[in-house]
Amino acid sequence: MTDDVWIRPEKEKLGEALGVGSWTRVFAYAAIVVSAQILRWSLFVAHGFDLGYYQQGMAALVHYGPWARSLYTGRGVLAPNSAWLALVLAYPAAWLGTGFLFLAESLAIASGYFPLMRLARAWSVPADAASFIGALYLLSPLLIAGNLYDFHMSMLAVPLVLFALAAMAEQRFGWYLAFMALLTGCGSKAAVAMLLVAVIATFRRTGWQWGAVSLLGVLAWMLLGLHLHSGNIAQLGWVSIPWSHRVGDRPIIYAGWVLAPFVLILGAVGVRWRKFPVSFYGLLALVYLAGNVLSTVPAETSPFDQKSALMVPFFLLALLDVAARHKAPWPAKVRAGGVAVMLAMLVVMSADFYHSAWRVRPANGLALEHALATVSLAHPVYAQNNVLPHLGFTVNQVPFSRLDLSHLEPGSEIVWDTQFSDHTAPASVYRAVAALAANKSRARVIYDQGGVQVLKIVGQP
Amino acid sequence: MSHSVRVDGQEAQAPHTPEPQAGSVWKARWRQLLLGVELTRNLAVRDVETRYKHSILGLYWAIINPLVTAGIFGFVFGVIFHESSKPIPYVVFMLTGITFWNFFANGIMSAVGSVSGNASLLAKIYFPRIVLPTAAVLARFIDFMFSLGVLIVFILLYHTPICWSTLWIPFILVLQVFFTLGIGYLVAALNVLYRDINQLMGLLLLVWMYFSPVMYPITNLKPSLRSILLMNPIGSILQMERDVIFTGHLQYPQFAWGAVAWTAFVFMAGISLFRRIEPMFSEVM
Repeated sequence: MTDDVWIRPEKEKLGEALGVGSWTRVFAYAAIVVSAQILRWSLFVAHGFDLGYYQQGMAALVHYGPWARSLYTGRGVLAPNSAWLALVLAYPAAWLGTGFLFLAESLAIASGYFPLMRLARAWSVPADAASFIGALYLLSPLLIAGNLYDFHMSMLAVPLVLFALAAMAEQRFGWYLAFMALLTGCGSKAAVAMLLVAVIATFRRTGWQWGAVSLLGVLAWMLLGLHLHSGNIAQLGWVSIPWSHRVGDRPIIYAGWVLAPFVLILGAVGVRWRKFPVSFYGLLALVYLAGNVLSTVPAETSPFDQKSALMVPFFLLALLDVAARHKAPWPAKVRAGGVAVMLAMLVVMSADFYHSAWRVRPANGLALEHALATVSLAHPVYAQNNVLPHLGFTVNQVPFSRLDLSHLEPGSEIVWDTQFSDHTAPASVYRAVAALAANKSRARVIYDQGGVQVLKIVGQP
Repeated sequence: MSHSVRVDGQEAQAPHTPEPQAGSVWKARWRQLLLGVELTRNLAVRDVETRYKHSILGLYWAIINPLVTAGIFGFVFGVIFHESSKPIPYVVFMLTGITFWNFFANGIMSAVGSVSGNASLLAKIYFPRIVLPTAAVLARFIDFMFSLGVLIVFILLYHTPICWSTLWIPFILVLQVFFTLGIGYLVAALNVLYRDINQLMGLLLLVWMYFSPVMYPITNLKPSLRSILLMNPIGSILQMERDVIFTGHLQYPQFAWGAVAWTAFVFMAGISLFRRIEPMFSEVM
């Protein structure tokens, strides 16, 4: 040790594409989004049908194996969307809890920054443009919204799409196929993105054979694995609706929201270069967007939907492609403007968060917490949409919508916030619960404070 | 096919330059790391020694400081404001908070001046400058170990039951050390450029302490207010430390994962900013 001396670094490796700075960005994303996810959860505004569904399903997978049934759907846990990666995630999540699930999702999504940078390096994209496009990824409102609103297996497909494309660009075909195989584990909603990745791989000059194999594999998986046909296209996140419903303000606003940052950036660059840049990847992204616009789910509900997040990699690929073909540096004003647009969209999203979460949070949160502390979890526990995620990874959580008075087993418990109702359970369910609370021979009220009641079923119907 | 698809394998390859063998690079890095650890340890021990050298009470100051702070806050909050932390005696409750908080606050205040206060050393030899704030924080960890002894004495004096989960404390402390180091790197580097940081941090830590569950329990607060307080990573870490000692389980485990994410971010951001400002040290000082 006495012979050792300090070696002064010959050059500072500042701004390394995959160095400390990148990790800082990735962790910054994870820290901010995880905090927002936890805040939503703690305010009792997280949704049972987004988070509780996975909590119950994963707990059931751990207890009963791959053929476990979901108490939310009455079908197999893996049946609705074939997201077999849930089986892998179930064990650590059931042990480490909801916070871990949030962190795993956010870190996984943020890690998509690395393959994006690898793609930029493989395509010799100028460093400033690469760094800018990386920042756009981490600031993307589509991505953050999909991540923020509880948990969805399909969100894990976003980084996997980028990892698969980076592996292809680096000609690591084994890894490419491995990432494609992993993508099948993110569920049927990732199928369109997978198809687009396979198409991109097939149209390469080198290694197109691997792309063709993967394209056939994806088609086989869609037809044989997902049993996809015209009648169940909803599996892809696209819902068939009458043509008359497809025309209106909302789809246009939605498409504008998705396209705005990319069109503005490309437009600004195009003005400088005197030519609007187009890209094959942009075309693919537009095909994906068209599918979303023509279906009801994202356009008619909210642009802050997880189904929109899978378009982000393709729009960013278009930017990378443009930057790679036009080696000229991107003007600082364009980059600053692009980041400003993303930040402005995040401000709009924060306003939505304020209205959809903070303002509508139950005023009796403390009573709900105390009520949940009285629940035993040994028998089925029925709860409303916003309370379900607080039951954690338990096999026994059941949504109100599946409450059937004639099949309530003794010992079952019902957590009822009398000051809350939503559209996930019909009004008849609330009437039935109210009648049950009044029927002393059938149910005993074991907690009643702050407008929250916990009923324990003591008798048969 | 399309001109816009990146297809050419040759295009993907950057100009190749001969690089040293991976094995020798890692060996050199490992030796540098060992050197760094040794230097950090030596500097931390030196820091503690010089801090208490020529003082009459010496290391007892590490015990007196938390005791006096706890005494004052205990009187104000426990006697005047009747703050309750049942079933834990309030003195024990608050001393626990103060002990862990003091390590964080003192670590940061030591780190602030660690680089700017060693200008002569920096001018003489080259060594990784990040060792200085690291050693400063670790020196306060040595003080903290003495304070922890005081806390144990109080827990025994008040017959406060503690849980087996207390064994998790070292893991949570690792999280706290990394969080403190991260902030320490940030402020140490910034203080070289702007000496206001030293004053600012004193003020900021005072505000930060009142927004952290150091002196008051958060269990009975409204979930919205409690959530905001636990969003603060050090607040969440302090709550975890109290929980594993006295409650036997984490009362708010979700926030623990938030604290993990923030710690990772702050630590990486600290290193990143420190490395960015490091080349300017010699010019500024």
